[in-house]
Amino acid sequence: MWCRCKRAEAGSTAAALTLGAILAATATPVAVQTGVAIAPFRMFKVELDGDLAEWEDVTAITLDSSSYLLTAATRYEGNADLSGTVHFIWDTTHLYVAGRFADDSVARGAAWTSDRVNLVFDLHNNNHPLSYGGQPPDAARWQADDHWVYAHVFGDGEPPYPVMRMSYDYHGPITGARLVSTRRADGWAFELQVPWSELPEAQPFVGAVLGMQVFVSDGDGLPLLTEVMWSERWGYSLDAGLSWELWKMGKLVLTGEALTGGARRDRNGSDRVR
Amino acid sequence: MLLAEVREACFGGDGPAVQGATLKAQIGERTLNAEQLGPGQFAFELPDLEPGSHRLTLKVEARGFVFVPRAVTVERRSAWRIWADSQIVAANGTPLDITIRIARDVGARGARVTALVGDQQVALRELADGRYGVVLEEGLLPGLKTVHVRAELPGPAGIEVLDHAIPIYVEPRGWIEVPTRIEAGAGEPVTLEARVRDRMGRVVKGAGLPVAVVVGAELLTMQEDDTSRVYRLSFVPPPGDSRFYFIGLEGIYERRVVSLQAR
Repeated sequence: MWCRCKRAEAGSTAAALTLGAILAATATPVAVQTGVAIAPFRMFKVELDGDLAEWEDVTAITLDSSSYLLTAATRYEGNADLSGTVHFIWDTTHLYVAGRFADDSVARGAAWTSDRVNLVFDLHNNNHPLSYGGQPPDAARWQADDHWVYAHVFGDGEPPYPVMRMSYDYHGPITGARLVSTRRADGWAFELQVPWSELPEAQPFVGAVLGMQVFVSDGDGLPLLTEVMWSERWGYSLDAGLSWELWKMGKLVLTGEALTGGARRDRNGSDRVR
Repeated sequence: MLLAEVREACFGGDGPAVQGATLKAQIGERTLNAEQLGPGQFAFELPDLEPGSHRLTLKVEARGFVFVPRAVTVERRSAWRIWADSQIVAANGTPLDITIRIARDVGARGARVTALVGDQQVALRELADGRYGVVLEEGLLPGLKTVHVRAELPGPAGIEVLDHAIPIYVEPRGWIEVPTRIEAGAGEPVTLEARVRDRMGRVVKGAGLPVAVVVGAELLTMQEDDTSRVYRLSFVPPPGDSRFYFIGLEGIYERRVVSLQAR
């Protein structure tokens, strides 16, 4: 009943692999569910500098050609056009997100046709197929715990670029949120932090389960976007754009501290801050 | 469609059909011409007649005859329809109330209504104003369900059968029953067992709920045993003092925390 279809499996590959060490004695195979991302508790000081080296050990979800393509297939040219990974960690004050994407044409600006990272939250994880009468709701009908957090990777002018939130009663920049993005040879990378206090209804604790969907918008300098979604396919049309099918969510689970116990060392050899 | 016949008046009964007659109907300001089907036999097509009661005045012209206009009341009814007054959302373990309404202009009376819920066939009791309902005391397992409703309505032309499908969402709610104590020596595997109980305290069986355990930074999924209905997970816990957080990934379950005791 709760299984998700095969196409979502790529998104949890990294999570499943990390279980190998502690599951060595397990008699039956166990893996995290597909469509489930984890955010470990922050085990190092997050420097928002666009360098993702410190995120390497953090489980990631994948968005690529095996994910859900929302827009026309004719405009998507495969993983070199758009594919990447997104990591999450958390502490009691912030949610941190980082990602690295291959993109053969980076589109700047804050227009709706530029490259964008999108996170959609159902913080209480209580949306279901009959929520909103089974019809994609306009933003004015969203519940108080539903939020769309998005950021144009390379916005207008000089950085920092704003991180935005759309909720039922608000659409604008998130106070205290930060985005740092960098160009890479094959695309771009980003790090962002969002204060929990600016996400109404957020209650972060170990074991919290948040409904979450992730999609990435690729401008390619064209009037029309390519958009790839993580764990489900939402409706999309040229005329109306994205259908906000807020019940088609994956999960983000806030987990505890690292299994390794002691302080980790970063690549410069200094102790990471817990 | 309204059928009409034009006949000569005849003492003691109907006379022969009138040849060469034309028939018209007046509905408010509109005048409709009848289609002649045969000698003295006519039909009016009334496709755009609004639902409700309408008064028609029929007028006939035929050479050599004088006709008295005839008034007819025509009632147009919408088709029978079945629906639920609101979305049916329930929590597992609580009685599930399935109430539907069958009506067109007014509610249907005297219908025989049954519903197929999973593999369970139930009869719905007539309430009032076309409403029919049943309460499933045991509720349903969590998830999105479809209730197939069949209504058999008695009518002048026999039994009219209506079928309708109604979605129902049963929210997973309740609590996770966890071990009171977990012991393991260093490097030894542990097996965690848990049961899921609904809000009435009954063990939820066969739902395959996504129950998981947070162990350090990781998330491990428990699996329901097909026979014992126990959710189970075996693994080697990490070194050090560990706490296990039992959570449900769907629905509303209070997080449960159990500490590992060193043996």
